[in-house]
Amino acid sequence: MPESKSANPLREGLTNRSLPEPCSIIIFGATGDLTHRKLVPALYNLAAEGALPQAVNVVGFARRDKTDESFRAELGETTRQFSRRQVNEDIWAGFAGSICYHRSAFDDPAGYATLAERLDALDRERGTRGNRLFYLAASPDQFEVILRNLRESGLNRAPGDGWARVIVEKPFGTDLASARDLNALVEASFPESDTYRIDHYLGKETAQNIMVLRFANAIFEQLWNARYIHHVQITASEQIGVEGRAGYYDKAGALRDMIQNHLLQLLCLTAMEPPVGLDADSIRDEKVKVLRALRPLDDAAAHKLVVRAQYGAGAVNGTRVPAYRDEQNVNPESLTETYVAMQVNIDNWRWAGVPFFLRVGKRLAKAATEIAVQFKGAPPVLFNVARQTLTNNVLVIRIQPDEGISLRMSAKVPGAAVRVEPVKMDFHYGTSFGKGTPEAYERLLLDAMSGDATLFARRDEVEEAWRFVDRILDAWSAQDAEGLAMYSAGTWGPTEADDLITRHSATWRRL
Amino acid sequence: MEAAVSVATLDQAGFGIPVEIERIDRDLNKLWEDAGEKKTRASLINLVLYSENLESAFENTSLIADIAGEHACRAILILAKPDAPEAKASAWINAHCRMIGEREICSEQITFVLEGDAAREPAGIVFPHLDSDLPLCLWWQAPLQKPVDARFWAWVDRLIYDSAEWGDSPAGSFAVAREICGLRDGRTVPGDLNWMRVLGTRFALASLFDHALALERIRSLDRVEITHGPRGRMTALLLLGWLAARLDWTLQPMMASPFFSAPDGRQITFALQETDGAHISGCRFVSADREFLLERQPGTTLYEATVSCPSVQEPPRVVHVGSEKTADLLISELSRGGRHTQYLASLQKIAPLI
Repeated sequence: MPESKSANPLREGLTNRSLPEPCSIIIFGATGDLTHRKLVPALYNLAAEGALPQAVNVVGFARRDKTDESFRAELGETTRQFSRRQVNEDIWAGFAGSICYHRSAFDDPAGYATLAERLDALDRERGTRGNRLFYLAASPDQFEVILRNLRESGLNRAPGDGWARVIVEKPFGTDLASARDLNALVEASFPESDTYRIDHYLGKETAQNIMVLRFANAIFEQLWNARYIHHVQITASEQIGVEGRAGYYDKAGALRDMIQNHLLQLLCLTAMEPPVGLDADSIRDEKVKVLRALRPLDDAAAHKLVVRAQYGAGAVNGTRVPAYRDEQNVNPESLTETYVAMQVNIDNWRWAGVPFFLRVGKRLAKAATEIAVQFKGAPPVLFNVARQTLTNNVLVIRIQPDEGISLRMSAKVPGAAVRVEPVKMDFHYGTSFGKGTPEAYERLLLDAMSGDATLFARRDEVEEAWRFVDRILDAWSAQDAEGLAMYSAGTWGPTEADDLITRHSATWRRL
Repeated sequence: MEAAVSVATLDQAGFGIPVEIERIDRDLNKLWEDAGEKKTRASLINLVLYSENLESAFENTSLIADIAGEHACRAILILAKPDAPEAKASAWINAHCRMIGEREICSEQITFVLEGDAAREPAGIVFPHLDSDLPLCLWWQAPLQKPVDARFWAWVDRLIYDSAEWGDSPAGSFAVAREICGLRDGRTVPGDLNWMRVLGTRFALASLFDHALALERIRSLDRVEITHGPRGRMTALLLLGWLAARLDWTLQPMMASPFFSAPDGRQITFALQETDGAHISGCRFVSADREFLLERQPGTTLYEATVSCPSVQEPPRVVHVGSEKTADLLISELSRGGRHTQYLASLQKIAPLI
């Protein structure tokens, strides 16, 4: 990468990643959970590692009445609680000096005018070179007013040679139409090249490792197609319920909350062709091709290939939990799905005839996110005969918890008889690499500060994903309560989901 | 001639269970069988530590315990006594375990004490016990000397050394390291722990110029002063070489007082000052109207960073320099990997001063 005129030459080569540039990070929704639990602890960890340029300001923008000091004190408390590493008070003191609070309502133009003045002053005092990173951590219904005010106040254009970027937290709309509206809204203020749509799943080490596994190891890519792969299962199961998100979740449901973004992103990384380069657009081009190749589901197909369900009362880890409809702030007659299992087909040369099964759910028996690539069986000769049927090879990429990769294969049991049993080669990140994995937000914030959009969703990715999901939503809207299956909390989901996969001579993996 | 090492002393040294060399693999397997399901063996590299000093060999065992927590490895310690009167080879096995979640993850350690002729031909005794197909990182804790045994070094993927330990005349050892690393078309990569030692200082120095107004002055510096500890001259030279490489300065060594020249013809004078304390205890950069200071807070791993100039009104900042404990330097070296192109460029810049 050519050295920019304004780059600090002493920063070059200090880390083996792209360099974050000095900037002011303005967080809208600065008093919210995301800021306290994720964003500021992530920034602190980067500062403690020396990965953050000294000239970085964090400006919290919110309505509540606070001073710089009280804001820093609150953040100090929560960072000590949520940081993945123990807080060093000296380092925190230095980092906290870069934090300030800007009190304003999101719809008050005067607040943006004074923000602009404050940012200009910070540029002068702390040498942040006019670079601004706006983080929309507020609720989505505030995005429009924030973006409009950023545009009208001129804050969407950086002064001088600086840059102005915006990070948009999901959800990116609630359907294709609203996603397009949101994208148009963002685009009216920031060009696509300065827009970073964050999907924190993509910041996880194992998600990043999918491409390394596929394209840095010659053995896998030869087998990565319809000739050798029977089917693929992508699972994101949770033990928790809606927690404090009932208001949002009851309107969204599992399809919008998980499938449209996280699971389709994982599917893209699993199914895409090798990109021509590792730059953001080369990778995102390939992901978009996968989304465009997803076989659209009409009403009949949606009914047949998608199972939606909601949890009833049950027990998770031995503790009784209420039914979804009895959760606080949930409509007692809610038809919102807390579980989705579906079969997806990718109509391209590589994946013709290979079903991808996606499943997500809340209040399931175990929390796990993984991709399982199920290979076809060995020919029915020699060891794979009726007397002793072999289990097929499975390559599992575990996203969380216990990130890692395992490969199931067959091996002879020691002894005079020829008995073949499955064995598992297991790689655990934690075991092999020991050290704490950085939080996804650390990586993603650094990337946004460096101008690297590889791990962020592009506009067309988001819209293609919605185009696919919208058809299912349309099909569901025509159904009544009969279309909603039920499962007991603490189980593996409804029996309808088992039937879905059994039709393909397969079963859901035991997680 | 050196006396043989007492086996009783070694058995007390924490090397683990004494084993016959031909039974090492069998006894290691038995170690894991006895542990049952409770312990998991993990290994990503072969880490070999070669020492000719009994004291360092003892220290290496506790060092490996620290390293294994971050880098699962098969660790092999070699204590070589080439001057011992009789050829003799002894071995011990051990495991270093730490809890990760509910699992106990373990790295193996094999210790060899090689005496006399056995110490002169270590490859035949030690290398059969490497974990196959995993890279070999060898930390050579003795002076690197000629002649270079090409067959021995052909095994090594990463040659680790600490140039701060090479005293006031490290040029000979650097030359040997260069020769070793050139043997296999550059596939043996040098890793100088002294370079890792300056990493935190490099971060801290870089942070001095993050400010836009400070950055304007980075190419008009005209003096550099580095204060180093009694064993820190080479560390200071590496830091100076790095600055020269990053800022495109060229050493003019033939002058009575060597200086660097910048691409615009400017002269940059420098001074290395020895004092008590850390390897690097301070840096001062001066340009016409500004001064950039890093001062180590005594007894800590913190620098106070100050930029003094009329237009930058920042209070001094505290910058964490990172741990400089040997185990942490080694962990850092093993974590970063790569070919250290900046290290090689820095060495080149200060070669006449070594």
